[in-house]
Amino acid sequence: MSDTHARTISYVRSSMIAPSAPPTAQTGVVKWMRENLFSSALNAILSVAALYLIWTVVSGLVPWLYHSVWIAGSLTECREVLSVVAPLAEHGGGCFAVISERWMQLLFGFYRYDLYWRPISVFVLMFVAVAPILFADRLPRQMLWFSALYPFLATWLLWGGSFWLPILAILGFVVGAIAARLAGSVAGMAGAVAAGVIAAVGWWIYATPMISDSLHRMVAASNMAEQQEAAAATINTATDAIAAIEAQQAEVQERISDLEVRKNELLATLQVAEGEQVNVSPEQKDEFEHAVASLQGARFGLNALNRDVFLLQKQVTEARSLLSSIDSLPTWEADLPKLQADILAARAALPDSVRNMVAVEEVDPGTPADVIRALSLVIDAEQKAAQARAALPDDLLALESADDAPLGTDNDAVEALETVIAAEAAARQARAELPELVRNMMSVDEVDRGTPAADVSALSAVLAQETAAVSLQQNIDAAYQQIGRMGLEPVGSRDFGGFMLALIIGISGIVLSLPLGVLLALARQSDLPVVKYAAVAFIEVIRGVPLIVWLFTASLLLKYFLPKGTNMDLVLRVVVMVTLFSAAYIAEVVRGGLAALPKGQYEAADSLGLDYWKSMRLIILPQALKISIPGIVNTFIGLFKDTTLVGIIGLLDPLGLASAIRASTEWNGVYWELFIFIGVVFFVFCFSMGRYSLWLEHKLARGHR
Amino acid sequence: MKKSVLLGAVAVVGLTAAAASAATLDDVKARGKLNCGVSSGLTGFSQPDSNGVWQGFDVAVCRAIAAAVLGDPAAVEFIPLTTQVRFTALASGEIDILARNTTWTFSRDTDLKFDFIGVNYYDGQGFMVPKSLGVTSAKDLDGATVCIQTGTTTELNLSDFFRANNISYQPVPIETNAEAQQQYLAGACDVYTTDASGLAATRATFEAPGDHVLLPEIISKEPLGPVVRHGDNEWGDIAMWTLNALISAEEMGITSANVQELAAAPTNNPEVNRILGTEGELGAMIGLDNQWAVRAIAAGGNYGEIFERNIGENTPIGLARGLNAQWTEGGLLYSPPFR
Amino acid sequence: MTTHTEPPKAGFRLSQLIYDTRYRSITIQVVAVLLLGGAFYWLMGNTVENLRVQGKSFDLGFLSNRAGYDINQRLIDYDSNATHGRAALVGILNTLLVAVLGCILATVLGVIFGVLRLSKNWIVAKLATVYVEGFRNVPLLLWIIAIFAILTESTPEPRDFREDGPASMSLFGTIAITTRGIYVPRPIFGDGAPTLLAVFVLSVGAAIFLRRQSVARQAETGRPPMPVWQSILLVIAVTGLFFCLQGGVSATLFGLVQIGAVVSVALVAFGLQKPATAALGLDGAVAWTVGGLFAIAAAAAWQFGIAGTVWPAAQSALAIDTAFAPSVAWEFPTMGRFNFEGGVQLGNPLIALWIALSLYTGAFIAEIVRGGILAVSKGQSEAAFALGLRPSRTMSLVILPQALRVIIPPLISQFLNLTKNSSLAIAIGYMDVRSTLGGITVNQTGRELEGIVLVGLFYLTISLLIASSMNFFNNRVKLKER
Repeated sequence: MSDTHARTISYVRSSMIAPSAPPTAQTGVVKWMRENLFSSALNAILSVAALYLIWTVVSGLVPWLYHSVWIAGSLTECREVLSVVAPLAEHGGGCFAVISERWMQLLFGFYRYDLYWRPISVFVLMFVAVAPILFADRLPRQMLWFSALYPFLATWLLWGGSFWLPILAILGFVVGAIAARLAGSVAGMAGAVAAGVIAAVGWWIYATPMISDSLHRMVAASNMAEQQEAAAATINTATDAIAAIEAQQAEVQERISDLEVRKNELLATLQVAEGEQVNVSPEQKDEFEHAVASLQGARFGLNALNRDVFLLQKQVTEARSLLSSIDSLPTWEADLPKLQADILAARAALPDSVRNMVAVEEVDPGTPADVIRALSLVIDAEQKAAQARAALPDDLLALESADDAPLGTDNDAVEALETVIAAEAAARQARAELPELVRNMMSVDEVDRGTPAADVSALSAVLAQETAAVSLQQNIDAAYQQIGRMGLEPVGSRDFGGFMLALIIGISGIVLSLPLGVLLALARQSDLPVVKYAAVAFIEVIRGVPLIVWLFTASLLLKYFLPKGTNMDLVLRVVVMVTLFSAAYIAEVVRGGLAALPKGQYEAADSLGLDYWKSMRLIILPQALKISIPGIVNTFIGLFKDTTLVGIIGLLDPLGLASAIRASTEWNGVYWELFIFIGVVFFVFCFSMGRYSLWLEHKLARGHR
Repeated sequence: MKKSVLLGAVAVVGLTAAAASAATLDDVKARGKLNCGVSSGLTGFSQPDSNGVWQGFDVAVCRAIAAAVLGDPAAVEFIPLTTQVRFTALASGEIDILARNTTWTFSRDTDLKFDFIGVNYYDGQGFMVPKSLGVTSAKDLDGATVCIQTGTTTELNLSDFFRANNISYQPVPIETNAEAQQQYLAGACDVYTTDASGLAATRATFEAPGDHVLLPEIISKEPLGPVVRHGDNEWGDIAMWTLNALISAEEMGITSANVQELAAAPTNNPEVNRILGTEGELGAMIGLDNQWAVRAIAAGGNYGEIFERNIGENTPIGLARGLNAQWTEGGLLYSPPFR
Repeated sequence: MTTHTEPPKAGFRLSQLIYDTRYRSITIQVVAVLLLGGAFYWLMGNTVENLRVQGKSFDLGFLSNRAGYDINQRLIDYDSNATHGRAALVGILNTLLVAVLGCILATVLGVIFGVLRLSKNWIVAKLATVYVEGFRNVPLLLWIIAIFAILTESTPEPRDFREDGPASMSLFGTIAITTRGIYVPRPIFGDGAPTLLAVFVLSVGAAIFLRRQSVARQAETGRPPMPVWQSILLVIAVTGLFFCLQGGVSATLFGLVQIGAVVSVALVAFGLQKPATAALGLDGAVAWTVGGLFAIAAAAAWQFGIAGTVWPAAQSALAIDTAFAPSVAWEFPTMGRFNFEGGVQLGNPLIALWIALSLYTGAFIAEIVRGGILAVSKGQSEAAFALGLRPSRTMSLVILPQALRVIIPPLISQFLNLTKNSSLAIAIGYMDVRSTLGGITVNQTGRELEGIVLVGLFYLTISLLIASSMNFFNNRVKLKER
């Protein structure tokens, strides 16, 4: 090498010249802008337009957000703070104080404050339960067991109740599986499925309430006395505590009034200052903000006290109702057999005509009253006509027309005859117009009077007793449930609200609708015309009608479709409707997945000699579902967003809560702040799920090639 | 029994309410809670505070009834209802009483098979306009755009009023008060019409309440009252006489402050004694104990106190008693005697 | 070795119903029919029973009762004395109106933003992404309410349009954009309208004919055909010119025609005199002068002699007055006591719902369009570039036609979604069928069963109609696989 070097001719460069910097137009920001923003005239115009758009939005929004007030007790106070802190802000400022006061409510609804750990743990556990499904390749399969148990655990945590309830519900599946196995050895696949379903449903409907009730009774019997003592103690301590807090409340209240006075004084001086065009100094602003903050701090303190009082009151209410249940249980239990014996006796004593009836509507109403009245009028008229005819002179007695009267009959008699004939005709006419039922009756006594009124009233008395007995039985069961509860305090679904409610409806809708949707998709692909068209009809009807109409169906019409007196919880009704609704959409997604599988997979499964269910379970569905996951996630996002509609039927979803919050005098008039908060939370949820679905799509797409 | 078996599975997780089969009173007592349907948000009448506790004028009626029946004003489950589902909820037994600013009309009382137990607020439909429009009477509103809250009797009254006066208008029906308020303030309508109490409550929260005036015309009668199902007269009586007890209490000067004292020993006023159970057996006649009215009054005070605390002149809403004053003071409140 | 089994000879056994595939399907179907029928019977039975207990019946008679409420936005005549049935019809038309408008705008927005998301322009692509993600991930109800509020907050009130007010009307004082909606002039069709329509139809026909011909010529000669924009321009030019000629300009036209006639008579006369002067042996300036005089004489004779009688006769015979009468007069909105009066009001609820639905659905369509474009393999555009096609033509001739096949099926379901989502109209006071029939009417009459069932049936019918018509279209553009 060196040799070559030595002989290098001097005018040839010995080393490469260092690359010179590209022209400024080809480097850095300029290059990037040239390539990405101004590559052509059209692009340049678009870029400028886009920048202008961004500027308009930002210049309007940012000052508003910047000046927003986060600490204030009401909208009026927000305005006061704004008038002092940013009197010149053109767009004013947001009043996000409403969020800092109410965000818990927007998240949890009216769920009891001291029980927030329950929905929170449900939410956290959800990720544990979902992880093995979402990241199937990275986590152990055993975790799927937890996913299977999760729905029961979550339901129990959210609604509370005795700890054996979820266990009993899970046992239903075990019972079903055992029945299916037993039947499977005798009756084949179809028989096994049927037996499993019947056994499981039978378990849930008959065995579960029975076992649960007897467990409650057992527990109640063992600890009734303790419970009674505990409840009495609770009432005492809670009442004392409430009294103590009330003293504090008065104190805090006084402080609040003082602070309010101080704030108002400050405000007055500052506003005068403004009127005189004197600038408010930053110190004064700080002072005012500080005053508002300490006022709001005191208010929060009062609020916390109020909350404690509220919780204590709830405890007292619970304890009182427990005590009253314990008190009345012996009477109820003594009354029930008596009542039942009475009912048996009363029923036995009922007349034959009504003995076996279970509703007053079943009795024979007999001929309607107005028909009877018409008949009696006709009969009256006929009788009167007959009497009038009898009163006629003898020679006219049998005549049917006045023209037949012998000559020389006096005019009065002829007239009387005419009247009689007219009356007879009218009566005949009236009779012809009677309903057929009574047309040929000659006496009112002949009509069908139906069940005698006395019998009906006896029946309705018995029926009333029976309802009373049923309700007594319910009361006794409820009392035992209350006394014998071992587990979590029950929370009514009426207390659910905000994003928690949206998530509950969305998630349970999707989870429950998955199996149904898969079945529907399979049914739609079926070779059996009846099954296929039933599935098609179901899917199209559900998808063809907006969710809002289905929600109205749930809240207004379901009572028509279910047996009389059934009363389902509104949240449950909504979940059922949402499940049916999303099942139709899931079915279409899964159908897409099924259609995307190459035909060879179906043929391969057939050629292995697998029967339909086995080939579906082992070959087709695992692949089809994997393809469908992004679609399912998208359906879920849609469903989650659609939960905002339940506000229209009176559930307190985030939007419903927003209007409830606005109804308070403090926050009436707050508009954008609540919407922005709700929108942002929705966006965070949906956007992250959407990203997951995209990620999955990429991953699956790679795996498929 | 059949239906409870049918839904046994779901009942397990406590999701179904028991069917309203027996008398409402028994149901309420067994449940230990009163299910009360309220508006999902109406300023001054029913609104949840930051702890989720319902407050308001309608809410107070329910609390009084709960106190009378169950001895505990907190033993109420408040069920927020929209205008569209309120009657269904009552008819199906989901709630025991509907205290949701519901106007007492012929067809609701008869056709829908409900019973109004009285009137707790005499209202009427009014108009609010910006002062700058210079309108002094609703009859000057020919050609105006009117914001209405939909789903109530309001839109029918409005239509009738303009038709009767032979003037035209453009309706802008809006479902919630919040949107209606926003539209009105932005000038999307010249007039906002709803119950006069609602107008006052809305105006009170404006940035500049003085820039808006309520027109003198009240174009309808809106007797708002609690509603129960038709046919359960025992329950209806309890609700009705609890309301009457609140009204009478104001007339007789019984307040939440002095009620315990007055109930401790018979006073000189026999009617006060009868209400407070120190004389006679009125409580037993409606299936309660003799202290029922004492508890109802102690819960939130008499009618006047409830009014003053929730919507009265010292609240931001600032409604005058007007028609809702006692009959002795020129109002329409007139409780039948306790005898 | 072969095994030979005799087919079982035995007759039908009961167990075959379960084990024999031939019969099993029948068994399953019979069971399914029984179960479905049972469920249906149970529901119906419950409904009948519950209705009976409540003393109600399934009765549509309420549709012919007086409605008693007013509707602001309506396409047909309606007042509070009309029936509930007519109110429902108004609602149905409103739903259809917003659905049709929404589908059109959503498609336009979707295509634009779908293409923009793929743009090389960084800021535009990001902006399109923000739009798509923002609308896809926030509930529609929120967007509807927000857009409604933004529309009212950002526009001036009608009273600002008074003489001394701060606002003024746009487009030379013809359009007023207010908090209550947009007021545009109302066209009142005059006698000339049919002629205008005829001219329009004729010009469209001519444009199509020319285009066809030029396409055919391309096949023969290879010359590029007449571009589509030229055909459109032709139609616009012809119709527009005629429109301008009508009405106030018809007198001018009359003058023009007369001048034209005079000129042509003069020219003809001038042409005719040539042989005569030639025969007379005249030439040069003399001939010109004679010819000119002759032409002027002829023109004068025409103008004062014949035209005066022929033209009015022709005018009346051809009904030219009617044909050239103004086709459209405009009624302009003017500020009244409270509101603009006259003109057509496009109410804010309609506009807000329209925009919100279009933006929301447009975001979904943008994703569909983007997916469709990405689904066309890159080689296609490279091939098009290699052929020297410009990017715009590549998009319109190569990419979009292929992408359409992927785009259309999901597009149909987006149209369906838009139509169904229009049922949220009540939130901002747009009176669609859910608000009239399913809202106020149900509230006033207590006929919830009938009302909600009717609303459901309406949406179902519309959905099925859209789905089947779009499927028909889809089948037509589907790739014909051979």
